[in-house]
This record gives sequence, structure tokens and C-alpha cells, in this order.
Amino acid sequence: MRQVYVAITLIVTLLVAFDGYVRVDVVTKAAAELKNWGIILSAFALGLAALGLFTLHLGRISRRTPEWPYSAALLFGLVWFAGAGTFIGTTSPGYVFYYRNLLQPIGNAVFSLLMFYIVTAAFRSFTINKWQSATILITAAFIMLGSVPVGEVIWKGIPEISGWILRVPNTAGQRGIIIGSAIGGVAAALRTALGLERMRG
Amino acid sequence: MTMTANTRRLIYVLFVIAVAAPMVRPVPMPLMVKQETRDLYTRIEQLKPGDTVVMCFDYSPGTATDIHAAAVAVFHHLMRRPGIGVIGVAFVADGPQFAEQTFATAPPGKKYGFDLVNLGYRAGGENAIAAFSQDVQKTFPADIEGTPAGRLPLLSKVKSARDFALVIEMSGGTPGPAEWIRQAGQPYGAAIGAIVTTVMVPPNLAYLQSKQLAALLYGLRGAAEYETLVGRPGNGLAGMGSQSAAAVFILLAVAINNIRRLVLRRRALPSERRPAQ
Repeated sequence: MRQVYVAITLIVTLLVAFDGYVRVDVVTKAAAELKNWGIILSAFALGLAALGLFTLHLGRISRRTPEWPYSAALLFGLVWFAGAGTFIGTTSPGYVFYYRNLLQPIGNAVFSLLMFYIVTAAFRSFTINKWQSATILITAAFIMLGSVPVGEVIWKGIPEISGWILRVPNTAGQRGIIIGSAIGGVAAALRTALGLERMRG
Repeated sequence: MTMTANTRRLIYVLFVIAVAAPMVRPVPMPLMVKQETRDLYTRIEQLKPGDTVVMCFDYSPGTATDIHAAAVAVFHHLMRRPGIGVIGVAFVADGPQFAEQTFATAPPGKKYGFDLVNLGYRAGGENAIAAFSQDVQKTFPADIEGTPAGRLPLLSKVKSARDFALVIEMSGGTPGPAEWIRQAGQPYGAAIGAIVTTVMVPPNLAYLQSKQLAALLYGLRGAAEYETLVGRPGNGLAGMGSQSAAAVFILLAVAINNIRRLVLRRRALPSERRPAQ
């Protein structure tokens, strides 16, 4: 059975990879079909995740665990948005009203709360103990002030220094990370395609 | 050196005041428009009548604060250009709502199906982007309302990513510009511009330097710059005062903490130097 899994994985990987390099009609059509299968599988995965979430929180409600009201709120949201989206459509006024007046403000608020953690984290961690921490603090100050208009008001050189830090040392590091992770990705893909991953062993 | 609960509360309260004050009483500040922002403006100015632009709404309510204002400003610029069609897609589940909100601001006279279309959401992330780039109508056989692609004249102009004059990827995470470069930019030669959250700017600058990205807007700051270019003030410019206040506040708090630590250390030094009895 293991050989069948490996063979399917290898064929699919080779087909999609070849499509990126070779323009052969049969390969292109097969690869397009496989990509569409991928979309269908992703949609199923979403449904499966929703089912898992439903089962978990239904269990918490039935056992009356201390946090069961939160689970009830979550299930209400899940059922409401899934039901409304499926039956009345995501552009219907009923769906849009709850999205804009419930989900959107909550999402904004939760993300905004991060700012408070950032403020206290910066207050506690940006302390000058050694030259290394001083370098981080000075760099952070230039980047922060260079990202907002007040930086230009304080000193015209701030956006230029900030831009240089982002364009030169940052990009050099980022490029290394991107190329390194891409090579790692190819290696991981090869291991999966050849059935060398331990989960199949 | 631990922070007491009262110190933390004081910092929170002062921070809220610092961020809210510019909203109540805006302080006008000069704004330098970055070259990366001008690049997107120029690219849109160079579009010809009949060109189709894809706007990809890959963000959710959490990151919308940083991105949505730029999406609206860019959309208005596109709508001002004669004969440009805009296709809205999303590979993040919340995306279609933001596409709807953006398209609702279309100027009068623009017709749905001819000038703009909202295709909605497809699951699958990068895989769905690959499928969309390869065959638009197979990936989205209908728009968000269920109207078949065959009844939307704008869609008849595009078969694959080769037919996109420009892709504008607006992302707060994954999928993002890198996925579009891999699936539409490199294989089909589509020009890709990106609007990303400010924290996503550093990794994406590498793609900008290698010219795999045609332009890059830096979050809310990018929105403010674009609003300046198109002469349409909006939430981007309105948010600059608060962002400036937040940055200055954090740096002041850090400076005060460091001075406090220095003073405390100086006071402790004489007793440390005293020889043991």
C-alpha cells in the first residue's frame, strides 16, 4: 500500500513541476485538473475543520465546563455565518449587516489590542545593557520614526537612514532567508515525492 | 526590573490618550511620497483602455486597518482611468466582504459586469492562485452572486494571467505577494503590485529590488501617500497623526525607562563599591 501512496505522490509532483518548465498540452491540462482537485480538497478541509470545531465545543457545552458560555458564543457565530452565507448569500443585507457590525469591529479590536502588548514589551525589553542592545534600539527608533510623517518633521535625515536600513542590510538578510528556505522547500518536496518522509515509514 | 500593574495601567492610559488626541484634533504634517508608491501610481497611469486589472483582497478585519484605505484609494484611481476593468478576487475567506465594500464606492456610471466584477473567494491558497492564473473561468465559473462567467463581459477578456495588465495583491499574511510572484508573475509574466501590512514590508522589499514586484505600498502610510497622489484624502491620511503619536510615545517610554534604569544603577553603585566589613 505504501508504494501506491509514494507512486501517486511522485506522479502528481512530477506532473505539476514539469508544467512549470515544459509547455506540453497534455501535461498542462493534467496539471490544471490537479490544481482544481487541490481547491476541492482545501474546501473539504475547511468543512472538516468546522466539524472538528463544532464537536469540540459541543462537548464543552454538554459537560458544562467553566468556559462553556464562550463555546456557545463560538458555535452561535459559526452556525450563523455558515448558515447565512450558505442560504441567503454573502452579499445579502442580513449577512453583510452582521459582518460589518459584529465580526469586523471585533477583528479590528482584537488586532488593535496587540498594540498595548507591543508598548509594554518595548518598554521592558528595549533596555541598553550592551552595545548589541543599543544597536537594536537605535535601529528600531530609526525604522519607527521613518515609517511615520513625524520622523520627517523631527529630522529630514530620519526617512533616509530608515530607508537605507530597510533597503540594504534588511534586504540582504531577507534575500538569504528567502533563497535558503526555497532550497529547503525543494529538499522537503523531494523527500515527500520519493516517500522518504517518516510519516509513511 | 519588573513592571508593576500600576505602571502598566498608566502606560496604557497615556497611550490611548496619545493615539486618540490626533483623531480629535488633527495635526497637519508634511508627507514624503516614497518611490515605491509612485511606481504603482505611474503603472496605473500607463494602463491603456481595455486593460484588465486584478485586485486580490487577501486580508481580514484584523489587518484591514492597515490595508483597506490603500485598496480604496487605488480602486478610485483605477476607476478614474478610462476603459479599465477591475476584477476582484480573494483567496482569504474574509476578502469578498472587503471587495464589496471597496466596489460599493465606485463612481456613478461604472457598470457591474463591464467595468468591475467581484468573483468572491476560493479555498486553496497558493494552489488556487495557480489555478486562477492558469484558467480564470474554470477556477471561478461564476461571480460572488452566482452570475455565470459567460454573462459577465469583463471576464470574456481574460483567459489566464497573461491577460492581466496588472495584479494588485493586498495581503495581511499568506497568501501574499510571494505566492502571486511564483504562480502568476514568473510563469505568465503578469506585473504584480502589492499593498501589505507595515510588518510585511521588510521581507517583500527583496522582491521589489529584484523587480519581481512592480510596486509596493507600505500599509496605512502607503495609503496616505496614495491618497496624496490621487488628491482624495481618506482614512490613510487621517490615521497618520495617530501613527506618529504612537511611534513617538513608544520611543519616549523606552527612553524614560532607560534613564530610570541608569539613575537607579548610579544610586546603587556607591554601596556596591563599599568594601565588605
